[in-house]
Amino acid sequence: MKQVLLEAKNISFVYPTREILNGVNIAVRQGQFVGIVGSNGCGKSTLLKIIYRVLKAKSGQVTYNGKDIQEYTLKEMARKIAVVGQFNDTTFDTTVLDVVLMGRLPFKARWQSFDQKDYQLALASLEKVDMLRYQDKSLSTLSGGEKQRIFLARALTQQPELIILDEPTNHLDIRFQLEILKIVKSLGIGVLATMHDLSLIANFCDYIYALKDTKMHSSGKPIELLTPENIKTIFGVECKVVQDRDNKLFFSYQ
Amino acid sequence: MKQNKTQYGYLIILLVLLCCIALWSVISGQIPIGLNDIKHIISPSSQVVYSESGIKLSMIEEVLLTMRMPRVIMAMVVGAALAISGAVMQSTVQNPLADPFLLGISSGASLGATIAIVLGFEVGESIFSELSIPVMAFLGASVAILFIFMLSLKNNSVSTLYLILAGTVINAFCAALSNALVYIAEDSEKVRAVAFWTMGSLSQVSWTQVGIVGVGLLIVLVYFLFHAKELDAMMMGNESAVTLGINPNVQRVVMIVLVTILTSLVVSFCGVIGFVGLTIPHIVRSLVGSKHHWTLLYSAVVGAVFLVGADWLSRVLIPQSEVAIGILTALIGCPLFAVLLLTNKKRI
Repeated sequence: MKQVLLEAKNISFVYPTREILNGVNIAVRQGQFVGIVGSNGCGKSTLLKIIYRVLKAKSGQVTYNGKDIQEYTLKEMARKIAVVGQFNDTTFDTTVLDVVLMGRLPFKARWQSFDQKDYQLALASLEKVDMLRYQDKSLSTLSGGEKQRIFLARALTQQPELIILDEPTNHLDIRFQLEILKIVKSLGIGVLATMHDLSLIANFCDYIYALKDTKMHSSGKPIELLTPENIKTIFGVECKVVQDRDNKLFFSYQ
Repeated sequence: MKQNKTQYGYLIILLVLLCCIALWSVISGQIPIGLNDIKHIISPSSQVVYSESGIKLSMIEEVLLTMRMPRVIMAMVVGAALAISGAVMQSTVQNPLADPFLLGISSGASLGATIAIVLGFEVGESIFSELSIPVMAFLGASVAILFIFMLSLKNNSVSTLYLILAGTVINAFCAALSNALVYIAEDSEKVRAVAFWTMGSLSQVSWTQVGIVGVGLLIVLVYFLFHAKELDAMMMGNESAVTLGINPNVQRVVMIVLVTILTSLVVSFCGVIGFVGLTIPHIVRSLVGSKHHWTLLYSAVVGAVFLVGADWLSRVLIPQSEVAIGILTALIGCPLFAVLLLTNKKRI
């Protein structure tokens, strides 16, 4: 079994009006695609935000390569972990290439400007997400799905060891949902993603964690965890799960 | 890379334009000065005692060195300072409406200066009386920003939304206090002094003041240019900045403090000159994009050009009189901003 890259232990978090997470544990191994599932408002995004240090947990610890993430500087962290969040807007308009180049910021000292290698990486990432021809366009002229691909390209430009995706397929049509997840999967790096589509989760995730009422409900391989009973408990919907000969799962909601 | 060369090329052209406008502004005014007069002042000859317009050269020299030159250079420095302050403020609080004036910094400074004028701190011969208006303006701005920071703290970090709301509240409160002070002031001379000061003026600047604001501008501009890439990332929002390795909370406080210092220096010597900080960065962004390396450099130069031009107009528009520069910057800045809004709409 591969080495654990990221581990969140006993994470709790409260907002002034309600508790969000209570003693949650997750782990991502090298090269593993890990999904977090759960209904809206169950704390998936909060957990990710604690991991990428936008929020501070009330208790618990997050480690990266065995070391507490608080011991890394934000810049060191950004060289290892890239994030594609739900925050894809900007106050002032900027070009697509400039946004993607920002992925090289963690590797630059203040006085260093972007060099040929940075431009090459940015252009290669744009090509990977099939947005190369948009490089000189303004970000504000793009659709939600196109923006999402640009921010994925920025994350790829960071050349991370782990990529965190917060509902990455939100604005994308089916073709691009599949393409984006294929790109991420093909990188062979650790992935931690929150997703809603059970078919995509079953197809792409190696391991999943299910959150329910602030706590960890269950965890396991998709084939073990995505049973009609669990789906009923976690999401509150009746669902028929069909498994084909290749062990692929198909879901039909009642 | 090729684009960089073009951008630097245009910047040099703008700098040359700035020098030309500054020179034009230096030689025009109620006392006309010819280029030949300047030549004679630089290399004096015993045969030439009078200027081209028949005024004693020694008097021309005095006007040039003690009035025109510090005034024009101050206009450049203040224009640049206000424009970069606006640009940084808009990015750090992620709001295109932000400028030092909206955030209450200048109304805090105004209140400080009004207190000094109305209560008569500036009357007398001592150093304190001479410096009372700038010092009180600086104190006013500092207290205002302190309150704004206190009000905008949320979960141990400064919320950009709260910052704007707190700034608006402090702005209104300081303006009301200043108005109340003017209302109760008995001396009509003091009321006029406050009114003139709140509309901005470059008529009484000295070389020392130019030096102080100039050094302030240089330090702050270098700091901002050094952090231009961080500003780019902060423009994309707090979370985005954190995931790119930048702590936006620390940077935001440092940058707002620097903007406060620079703005209160400007306001304490020249009064409130509005619209430069708001409009110039927007005009610049529409021309060179929003990468801060360029936005800052171009804002500084365009701000300087704008204010030197406005100052020249304020002196020559009405013969034998002077229009407050704050009135002109608003009168020119508003239509410019409206044109920008209309052209941007068409583009979208």
